[in-house]
Amino acid sequence: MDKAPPQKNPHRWFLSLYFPTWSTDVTKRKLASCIPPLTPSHIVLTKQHTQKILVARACMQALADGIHPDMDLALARARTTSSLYIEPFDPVRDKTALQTLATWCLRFSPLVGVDYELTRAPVGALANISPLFWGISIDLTGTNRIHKDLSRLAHTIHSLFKGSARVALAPTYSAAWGFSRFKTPALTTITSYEKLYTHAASLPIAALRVDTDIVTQLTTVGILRIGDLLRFPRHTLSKRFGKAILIALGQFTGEIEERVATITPQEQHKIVKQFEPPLPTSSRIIAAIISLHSSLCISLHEKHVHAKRFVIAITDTDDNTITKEFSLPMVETRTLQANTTHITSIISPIVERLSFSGEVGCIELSAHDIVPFIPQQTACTPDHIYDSSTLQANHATLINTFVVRLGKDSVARVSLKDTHMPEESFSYTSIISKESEYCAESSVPYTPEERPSILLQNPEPITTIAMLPDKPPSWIKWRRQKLTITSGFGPSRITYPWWDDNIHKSPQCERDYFTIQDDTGRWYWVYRDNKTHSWFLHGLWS
Amino acid sequence: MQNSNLLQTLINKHQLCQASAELSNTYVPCQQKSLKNSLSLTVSEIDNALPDGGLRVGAVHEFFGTDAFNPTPPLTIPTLVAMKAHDDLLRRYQNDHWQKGHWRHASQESVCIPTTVWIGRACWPAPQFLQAAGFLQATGFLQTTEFLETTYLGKCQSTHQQDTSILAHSLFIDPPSEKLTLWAIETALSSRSVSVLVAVCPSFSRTTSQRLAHVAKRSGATALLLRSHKEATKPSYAHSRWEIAPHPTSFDTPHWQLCLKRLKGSGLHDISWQVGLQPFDFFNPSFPSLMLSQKHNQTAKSTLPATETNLVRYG
Repeated sequence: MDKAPPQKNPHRWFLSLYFPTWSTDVTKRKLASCIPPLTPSHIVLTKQHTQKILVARACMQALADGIHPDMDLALARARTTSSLYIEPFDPVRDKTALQTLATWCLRFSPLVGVDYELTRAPVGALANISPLFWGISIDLTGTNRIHKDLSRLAHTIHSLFKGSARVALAPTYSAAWGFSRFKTPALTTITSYEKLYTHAASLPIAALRVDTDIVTQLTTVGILRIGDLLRFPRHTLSKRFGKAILIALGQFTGEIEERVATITPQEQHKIVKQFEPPLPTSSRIIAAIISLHSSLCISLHEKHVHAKRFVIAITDTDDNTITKEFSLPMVETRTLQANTTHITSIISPIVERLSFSGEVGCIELSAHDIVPFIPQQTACTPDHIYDSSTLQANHATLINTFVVRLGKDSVARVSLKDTHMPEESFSYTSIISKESEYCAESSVPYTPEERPSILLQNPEPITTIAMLPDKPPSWIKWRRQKLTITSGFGPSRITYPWWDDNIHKSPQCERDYFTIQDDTGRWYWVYRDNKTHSWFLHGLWS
Repeated sequence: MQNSNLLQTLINKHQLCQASAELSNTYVPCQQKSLKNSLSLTVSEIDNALPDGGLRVGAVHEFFGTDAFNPTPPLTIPTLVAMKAHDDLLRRYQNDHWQKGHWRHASQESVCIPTTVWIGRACWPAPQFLQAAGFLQATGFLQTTEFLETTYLGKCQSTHQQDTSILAHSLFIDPPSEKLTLWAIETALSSRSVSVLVAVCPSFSRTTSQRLAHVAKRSGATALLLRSHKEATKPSYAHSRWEIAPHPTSFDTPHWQLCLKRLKGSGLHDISWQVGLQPFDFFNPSFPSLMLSQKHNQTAKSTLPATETNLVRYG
């Protein structure tokens, strides 16, 4: 075995938490909070694979009965005599829960992260992430003075999770990750680099977090454990298996520094006030909310941010809490604070619609969707025809009025995308969503005669007669009306982005667009789907 | 006033450049336009035929289709009017800045001009059609908004372009019911932050029509209401009423017959123009507009009721 290399940073400590049955644990907690609480003995989460329903995750009891992931559900039912609680695997819910737990772990250290493989995975690929990567890492470097003994802290955290978590403390992030996943006792504490080398010898190669291809190659030549790997000279490993194995080995032993991809805690902007005596009338409740709102706006303004959404939680004297949300998407907090009439007109109908069983004892107002506030320069002279501050205040008032009365989904803004596919080239987003800022990502420009003024939401199928290969139709039948076509231009071919591997598998195909005019002078934008040879009407110059 | 004095003091001490002097030497401002109170129909012949030089600002204008079969509203011409109005606003904004010698750091402020509001899903134009004006900017044919970044050295070092297209200054409203549509139209018209409003308008009473006209007059916003041809016979307090019908043509672009059915206080009625989309000429680029192909007076009597000028008093 190689001699332990000199370490550049010997005082780093990482704690890795691994939850082998995280998804079923989340389900178990959810069932326990039901009324009445459910406590099934076996929990199995399933996934759909072609025509089969397979086991995606199984609880400890189910695993002990021989049920394992990727097993057919019918076979899993046959494996156990106990009744199974079965529900679909929801990786998004589980990831959110893990991130919530990671936020809770911020009390141990400011540097806490969820496994990078899980964080970077798109939503669609979450189900395919290996259960090994559903864990939390805590960088405890520099916290010795607070926690005194880090080994004891590891014991405390392990006992907090009551055996559902495997915990490892090690001088490197990679080692902590590997020990928590593959070391037999549920709690491992490696307090020095010498012990790290000793214990690492028995770990499998997969503990290095290398690709499965490399693990397979190493297994083929008989290298099964990290100890086997350390016996070989590094340069020979690099030549045969690539640099990735050396990097992983360096990260494991601490020769290459590796950091935790940390999460950033969201700052809570809220204000709570208890009322003694309680507020009896709606007018006093409205006045109290406006007062709280004003205070919250001042604190937001001091931080140079403003909120797009506010949530009011009103608790009455019977301890019933009513939560109501209202949106103020475009208002600068300073302006809103001054504009009491406007905020009253928004809050009054909300409060008057609520029904309380008693008097109001507590009101909590919280701000959400926090965005940075960019200061605006006002006009230099008073006779400026566009006073920007007044105009923006009026604009904000208009949007708020629309959102409160019509709903947030009825007030939209458009964003353009860089694609030639007409229906994919734009999207309408709610004005209060975070993505509502106008965005034209180098969108493809057209002249007015190239694109119709009205684009149908969905292309409507039409019946046509047209000469092949690429003549415009001579007549079309649209919405049960037969239209004689007198002139037409085209085709203008629009095809899917064939260079993009992700889109290549979509059902879209080539379209040949024609601009045609009927005998009454109406102009239409029609296309022929070159795959199915069906015709569609997509837009018109009305 | 204090700010002006302070700025003048700084200029006198040569601690701040006088941007207007630098601008006049460095940049040629775009064509000076008088602040006329009208929206252009994008065809000079039609604008000149109207007493206000276009569609009066701060008024309601109604557009009727003639097409019983086609359920879509006559949207293309009102959209072009709104696009042109937006472009004129930008030019006025720019001219005003340059004339007054204002300077702003472009990275610190967005262009602050009134919004165009589209009410009713049926009248949301295709964004790529609205982007046609952006086409000119994207290709460098048209530069309506150049903002100067001045420095303390007194030199205009660079220009910074912001997204000033109508899409960036548009709001799309989709009211769930006809009642809320009328409410949204009135609310948008009463706001001082809206320049042009395009809406697919449900049937409304004479009182509502009068109220909308008053609100528009008070706020200065212009409403372009797209109405069903079935409503054409009902009385209204709109300043002008137009009828748009598709017109067969041998040109390569869509054409319409645009008929002025009534213009309040002018005596003009039943005047027709044949207009079409101006084809884009790469060698002589211009803002998306209409072109006039033929004008003729309609001899048939209008189906719309007589003007009701005597019932509404503005101002």
